[in-house]
Amino acid sequence: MVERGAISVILIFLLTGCALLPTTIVNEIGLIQGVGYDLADEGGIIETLVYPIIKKEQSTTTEVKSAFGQSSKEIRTKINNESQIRLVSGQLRLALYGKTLAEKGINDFVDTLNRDPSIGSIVQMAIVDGESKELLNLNKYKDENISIYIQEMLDQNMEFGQLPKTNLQTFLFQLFQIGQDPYLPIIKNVNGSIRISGMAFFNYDQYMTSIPTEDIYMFKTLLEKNKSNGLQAFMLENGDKVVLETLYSNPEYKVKIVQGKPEFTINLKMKTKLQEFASSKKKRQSFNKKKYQKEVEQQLEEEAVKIITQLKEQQVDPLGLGAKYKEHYRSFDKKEWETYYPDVKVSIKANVEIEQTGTID
Amino acid sequence: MKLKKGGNNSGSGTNNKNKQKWDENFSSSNDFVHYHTSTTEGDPFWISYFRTLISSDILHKDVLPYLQKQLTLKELKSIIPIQEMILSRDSDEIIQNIMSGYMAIQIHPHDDNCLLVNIANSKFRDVGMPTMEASAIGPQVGFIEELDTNINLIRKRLPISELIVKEMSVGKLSKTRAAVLYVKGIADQENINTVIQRIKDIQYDHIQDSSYISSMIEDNSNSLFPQSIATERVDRVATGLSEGKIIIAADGSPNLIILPITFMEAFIAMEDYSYSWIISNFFRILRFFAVWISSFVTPMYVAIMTYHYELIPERLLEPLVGSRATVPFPPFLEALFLELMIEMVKEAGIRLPLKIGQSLGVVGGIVIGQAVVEAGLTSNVLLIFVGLGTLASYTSPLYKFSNTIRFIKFPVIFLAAWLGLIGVYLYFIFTMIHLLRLTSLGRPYISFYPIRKTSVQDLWVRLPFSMQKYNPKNLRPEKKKKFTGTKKNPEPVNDFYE
Repeated sequence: MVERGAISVILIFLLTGCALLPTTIVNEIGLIQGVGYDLADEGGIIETLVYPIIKKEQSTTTEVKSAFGQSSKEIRTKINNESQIRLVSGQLRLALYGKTLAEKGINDFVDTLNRDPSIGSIVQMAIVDGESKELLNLNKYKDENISIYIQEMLDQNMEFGQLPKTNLQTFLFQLFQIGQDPYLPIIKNVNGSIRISGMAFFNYDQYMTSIPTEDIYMFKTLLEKNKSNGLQAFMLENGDKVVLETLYSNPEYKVKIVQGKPEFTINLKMKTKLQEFASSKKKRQSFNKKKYQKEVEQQLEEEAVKIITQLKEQQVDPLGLGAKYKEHYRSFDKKEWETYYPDVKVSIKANVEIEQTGTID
Repeated sequence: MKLKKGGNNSGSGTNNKNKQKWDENFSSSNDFVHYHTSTTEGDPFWISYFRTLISSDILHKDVLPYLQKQLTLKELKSIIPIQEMILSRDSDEIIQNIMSGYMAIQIHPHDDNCLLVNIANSKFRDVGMPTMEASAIGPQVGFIEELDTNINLIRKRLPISELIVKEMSVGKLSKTRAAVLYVKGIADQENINTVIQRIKDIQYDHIQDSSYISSMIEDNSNSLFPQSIATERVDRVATGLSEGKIIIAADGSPNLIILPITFMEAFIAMEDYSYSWIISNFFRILRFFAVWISSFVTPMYVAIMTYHYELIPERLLEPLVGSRATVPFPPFLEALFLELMIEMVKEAGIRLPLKIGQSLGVVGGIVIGQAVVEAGLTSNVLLIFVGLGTLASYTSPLYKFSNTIRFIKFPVIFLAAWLGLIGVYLYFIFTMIHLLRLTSLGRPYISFYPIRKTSVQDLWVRLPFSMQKYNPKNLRPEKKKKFTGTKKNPEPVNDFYE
């Protein structure tokens, strides 16, 4: 047994050529944390890399470098030429795509992230309204690690705020899923600071349309079950203002197939908490739960229909209606579905329950 | 030839020759005393003993006063107030007994008949606290170097006639008295036979300590893992006996050997039974995880810092990379350097006298540790990991086992530097294979395969006493249950039974 062990150890040495594997010792490499892709005028792309320079007992500075080229890894090599440390992509946390590039399709530049085994699937992705190079070079974030900043900004908004959860993993899932299109948040430079400005919808990998920030939460509610405590304000017809915090919401999709064509019913169930209430009569009055629940339901339904209509018009399907149809219909045909989609019947039934009204009634 | 030899021993014609044999060897030692107690020639008695082996107190008080009269050896035997006396003419027996502190009384200087009287000086240190296996509460009695005292301590805890002590002599030179202890009716007869047979088969001449015996009779003496417990705690031994384990004690050794054992027993402290079962479970599991931390935290650091930078969470990136920024060595050398330094501090601390050892600990731990980091030779983070690992390795209540844990991280560090995390996993797999193959007295060493109900009661976790119903099954005890009496007719009728 001892001999066998010794032989196996020697064999491992011999088979690996007695040499150590190529090492990536952490302080001898440049850890790329953010990357941005923009369309260049000459038909190629401009890639921007962000990596931190970490020093002992000093605050970390970030390097932002850009170069022009045809492919992502080619540009990596170009930027490596002007870096004192080898650049590696295993710590990538953020990938940004310029809007003009996204309109042409971003698959080529998502593929390289997907193909590299050292890149994890929690990479945050976003579309930049403008140029990602410009955004990553913003003066205000010079002392900050900008890629981590944007990543955390998106992360916290996904966990506690309005944004639905997206990252490389969800993007790829939606991209490869038949009957669903991907969606990504849009960020924008507003007077020198970065802000989430909407939600971008893709047809396969091409940017098609977007919804403004105000509608993102409605979209998130339609998309998935959530407990993310997002706020929704409702300005009712009589001028009353009701702001509700979601405690729990669950959209239930029902698919009915009539002569091979699908009809969708979304039963949107919401449990909410009243956060703000202002009556138009400027007079203190008690909150009539039943009345307002009904009115809020109505308004929710209207908003949802508005979003779905926009999605249908633009031929994008981020809600995955096609995939749901496919689950229920064996002879699903993608081409056929695409012709149905613009006038598919989607009805929404909201059921809002205001569970908590706060410390005053 | 054999017949002739037998005749030699009993025949009176060759007695002188016999006598001369033991006399000759002895008288060349200066501490051998052989003299006539009477001034008159031809009167009895002649006495011989080793001055360094006997207690002169007993000799003068209890033996010499009776040697004034003219008596036969038989009469003398009945009046001397000492318990252990042998009338013998067998020269081998005489030599052996004189060597262990007996005196020989003869009527004439060259008689073959001797009365052997035990006046051995049995002064050893007092029974003290266990030093290596200290506990905060619970009995504070540790074994000492004398076999009889040790057996006495055990018999006090198990005052039953079923506690059997089988004595034998091991080693041609050291003539070490070894005793095998077990409880008849609980311990498995096969285990007992194996232990006795293995001890009898020992051919090594010089047995200095019970550890010699244990390492000679272990199933796999090439293994890093101890397959027996060497303990100085009386309660651990008594508990083991009552569960059906077998104890080996050797004269001159304060450590008693417990066999057979399982891997998990290295995490059991006798203190566990003094606390509430919930608390003791917490500590037992803590010790278990401490061992994993100790053996794998430095290798993981080496592997991740050398190959797997992807695995570092972004929040940890800055402290980890920053602390290494000025270190000129690869993580492997850095870790090896620091680990070896700590081992050296520890080794020097043990070898030096207590007081110097303490100050050395301060120098080694604080001064060197701080200076090394400030000089930029190692990183702060690694210093924390190495310190944590060293601390964790000492949580095992068994000193032998902590040493194993401290050693096994070195091969892992090499593998981690060479193959990264794959190396760490390889090492883990090979260790697990080894542990699964290992046996202690032919019984499986690792306690999670096969899974037994008894290992849930009191091995991985400790359940309350009311739920510890069975003796460990891997010992194959003859008595299966830990209590006497049945459910219908419980023996102790006690309303306050928990």
